[in-house]
Amino acid sequence: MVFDFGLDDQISFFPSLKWGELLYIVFVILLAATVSKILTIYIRKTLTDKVKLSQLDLFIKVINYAVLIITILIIVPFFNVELGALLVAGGFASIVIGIASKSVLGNLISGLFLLFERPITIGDSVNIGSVGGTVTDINIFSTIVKTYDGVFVRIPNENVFTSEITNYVAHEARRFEYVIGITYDDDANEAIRIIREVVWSHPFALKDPSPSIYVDEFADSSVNIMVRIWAPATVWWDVRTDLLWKIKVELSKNGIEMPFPQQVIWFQNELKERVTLRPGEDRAQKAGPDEHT
Amino acid sequence: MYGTYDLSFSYQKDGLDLSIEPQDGKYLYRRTLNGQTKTRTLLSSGGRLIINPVEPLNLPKEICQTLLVEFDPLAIEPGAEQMIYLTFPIEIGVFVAGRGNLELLDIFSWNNQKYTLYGSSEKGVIARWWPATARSSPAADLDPLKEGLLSLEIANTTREWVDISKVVLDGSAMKIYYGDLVSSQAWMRVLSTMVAETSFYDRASRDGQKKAVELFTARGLAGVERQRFLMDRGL
Repeated sequence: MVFDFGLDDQISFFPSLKWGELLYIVFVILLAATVSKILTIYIRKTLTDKVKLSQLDLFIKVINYAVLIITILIIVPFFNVELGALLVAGGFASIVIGIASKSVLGNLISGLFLLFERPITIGDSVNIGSVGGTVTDINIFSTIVKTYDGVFVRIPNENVFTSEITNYVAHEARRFEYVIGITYDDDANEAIRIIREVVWSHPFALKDPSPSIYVDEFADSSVNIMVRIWAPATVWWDVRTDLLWKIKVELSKNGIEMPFPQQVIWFQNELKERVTLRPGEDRAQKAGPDEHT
Repeated sequence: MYGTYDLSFSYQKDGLDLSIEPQDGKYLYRRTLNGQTKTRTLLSSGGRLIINPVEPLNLPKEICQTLLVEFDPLAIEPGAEQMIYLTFPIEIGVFVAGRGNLELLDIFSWNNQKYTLYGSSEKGVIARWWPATARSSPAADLDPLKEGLLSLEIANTTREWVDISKVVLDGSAMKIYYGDLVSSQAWMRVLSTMVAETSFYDRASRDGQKKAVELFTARGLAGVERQRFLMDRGL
């Protein structure tokens, strides 16, 4: 097979372009892709352990979009397109496309707002609408959440923007609480002292704001002690799970028990008459003077 | 204990049992303290073991870069420059050096850790909390394995008396020197009754002290890390 054309020859199916120019365009695209790839790898290699993952991903996206825009600006003149005219045409086109694809543009604009407003960043534990999990990526059109079960969920940015967002790690610290029930026979002051010591011994149970521990309720089966603790937002769940068992163990070690639900039942006197005695059984042994429980 | 050693080394003191031994062409690092043991296996043709105090912000795990030293309130007169002597907790870093590179093997400490929040939950920072006594001269009985001397130069630039009960420092800028004494020097410039700026000096307290390998500088981006901390949530 013989190719009979020179670099200065026009392309038959695209007369405004020469073969040499097409090769140049292909070369520019390949070069841009290579530069983008090399920059991405270099940035990941050098900065992964030095900046936050969310900032790193944002930085890489900015670099890649910059390379893409530069590439387009280099290529566009070969198609006899003037940038000024392109902008005017682009304006009209964007109106038409906008009407035709409202939701896509909505997602795009929402994505840009999310990037600037930053109510969430990559790595945050969040609830977006009914989806709870960790944000793994924020793209122009969608936000990716990995649920706590490890399931991939893609949420269009328009939904993210209009949904109620709960970000569990947006603040430096957060509070959690336990309700610890002890029996009515146990000393609540002693229980509070023990719980306070256990909480104090945990490095991440913050000194300030100080923990709040107090008798909160006289419940049906127990005296309820409220324990409120502040912890760094990044580790609060670990602290919560770690401390609860330590408190239980330490209370048990000191003879303070957490009671099962129980109910005291009082019978009226006349019920005493219905007690059936076995042969040889003493009536006084079978029941107290006034009641049976 | 601090210094540079060959990759065949052992040390026992106050419940600490630390060793690195060649074993089947590898090196086995083992450290036991307070009932907890850490082991690492090194594939190395040789190198050196470096043990020195590091920035005390790594245990039980790294969650912040800020150290808050709290002391009984002091009132500083307007325009005064005073030096006070505090302490800071020691965390000990074990590094292996080979072929021009440093690898962190382990960090341990005899001290308990406690963290606190400086400022509000939404605008504040998490900080390692350390209680200290403010003295007008350095404490003489500091155990270099457990406590370091923090010299704090306080300058009150305001025209008012200012009460100070804490200093918050950015650990990524901490410069630690070690020898018979572990020390670090810092300054605090009081800008108002509620605001101060703090940072570290890069200098030894005594002759013969060596500069410790800085953990945060090794991890951080050279020239980008913060050097000063603005205490704008109270003094």
